[in-house]
Amino acid sequence: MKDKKNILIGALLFAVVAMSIGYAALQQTLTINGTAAIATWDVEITAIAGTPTGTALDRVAPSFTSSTATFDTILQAKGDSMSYAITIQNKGTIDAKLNNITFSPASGYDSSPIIYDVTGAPAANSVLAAGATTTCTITVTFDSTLTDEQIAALTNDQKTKSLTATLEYVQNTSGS
Amino acid sequence: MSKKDMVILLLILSILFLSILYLNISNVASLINNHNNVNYWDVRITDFKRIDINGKVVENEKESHTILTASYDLFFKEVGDSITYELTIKNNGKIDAKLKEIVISTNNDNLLYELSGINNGDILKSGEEVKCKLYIKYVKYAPYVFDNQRVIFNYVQK
Repeated sequence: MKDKKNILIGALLFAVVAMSIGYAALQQTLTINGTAAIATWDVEITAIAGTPTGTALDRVAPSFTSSTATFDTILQAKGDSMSYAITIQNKGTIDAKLNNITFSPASGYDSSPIIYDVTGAPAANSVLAAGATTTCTITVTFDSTLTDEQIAALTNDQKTKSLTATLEYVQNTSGS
Repeated sequence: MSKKDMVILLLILSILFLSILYLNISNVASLINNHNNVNYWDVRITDFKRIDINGKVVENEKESHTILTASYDLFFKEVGDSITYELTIKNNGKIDAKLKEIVISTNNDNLLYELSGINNGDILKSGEEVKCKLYIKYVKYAPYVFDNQRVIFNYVQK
């Protein structure tokens, strides 16, 4: 009888403790989850070099800043051309992606006697890895259909043409 | 009546008392759920939003939240970049709640995390809400860091 009472007391005590813990266990956990990346972002133009053909020459030596490349070319005769290789480097610590590349005017071929031919431009959405470089080459030349006489008769305005190339790089998040 | 009999009686009464408490909770919860759609115990996140941003920090994804979790995804570019979020917690239940503990976990010292407007031990009464701010700042240069952080709020019954 004594043993049965001890067992009953033990069982009741366990039940009281368990129920007390259960009642006191009302709780709620709220969480803020965050992700933060730190990196150096630095995509810039690091060089520009011109290669002449024929009697083409620089009116002013080509120059560049981190975001702009500038050249001023003199074309004198049929067949003259100047090719400018513009180097772009990702000096940062994270990969960059070319989000958008635009040219203004949109086409190097129009009614103007001066033609811009863009070769080797990075493809849209191409990735420029951290530390890597890429090159965009712009060639300026006379329209090949012009004769020497027509070229000689060009006015100064006709011999002047501007081109703006814009390369927009963003962080490459694909695969991360 | 022997001492053991008295102990047994006392334990039985305790169990009856606790049973009434449990019954009370479930009955009230049932009544409320049926008529007012309000839970007896319900502490939840009701809002999480960016309230300030400085420098060149980029939000890879817009901040978001559910009733239990708030999230953000950031990219810091320069030392000094900072951002501040405001979190709203509401006690939608019938029982007062107590903030038992706040745990902030992170794996780097390049970012500073500051939580303000809320403290361990704060009481959140039924029907009330509290707003707190999480301030994150890029304080020490690192060429590259990828960090997952977590802020945990443990609420218990008051």
